[in-house]
Amino acid sequence: MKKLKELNVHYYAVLREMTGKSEEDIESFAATPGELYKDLAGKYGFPLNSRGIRVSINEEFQSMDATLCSGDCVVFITPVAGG
Amino acid sequence: MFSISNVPIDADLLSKQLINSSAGAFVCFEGRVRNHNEGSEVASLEYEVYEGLAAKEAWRIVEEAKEKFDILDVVGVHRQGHLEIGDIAVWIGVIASHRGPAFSACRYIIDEIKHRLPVWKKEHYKDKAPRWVSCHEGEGHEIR
Repeated sequence: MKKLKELNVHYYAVLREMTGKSEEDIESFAATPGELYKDLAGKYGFPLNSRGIRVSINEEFQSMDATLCSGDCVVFITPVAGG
Repeated sequence: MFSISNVPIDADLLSKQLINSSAGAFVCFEGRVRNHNEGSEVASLEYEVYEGLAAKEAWRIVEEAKEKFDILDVVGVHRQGHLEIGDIAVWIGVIASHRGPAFSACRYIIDEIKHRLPVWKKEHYKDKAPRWVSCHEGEGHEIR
């Protein structure tokens, strides 16, 4: 049975503009970042296909299949353009 | 050493951090804001950075370069915020005993930074709405 988790989600660039916020605390049953992304895509209209989007949990790159834990800070990284 | 800066990059000051009597080569890459991209006239750029992760990833890239190439030291800075045409967006300096490893390491670092650092760029144009661009598929790849 999935557990309800308290997550802190930060938004940058295009996702920040789509949500209208830099961060939010949310309660979610999502077990993985992939599941969380789908929930947020439904809520905010993010692209449904997450290909090319990476995720960071607690300031480390992780897989979209990683396990989310209560208290995690999650950031979805859309394609970057440094330099 | 690699940092993220909110203020203009002072290249002279940075290069002074790379003075070493063993260094026979100093190679630097300076990325500047240009006034055009894919046929559009660019008025300015906006960089947004996930600082905590960017600092960690940049440190990893510099450590990788030190393992791969025979170099002495690296200094790098990436800007965030709103930049005007001609402003320095990124500065990488590498010193080594010889020029070969210095060139190779500098190229490696800037290439990895462009693709790995959580940095986003919004182009503001003279004649149309701004947009976020990605360098994954080449400069100017539209993501929205």
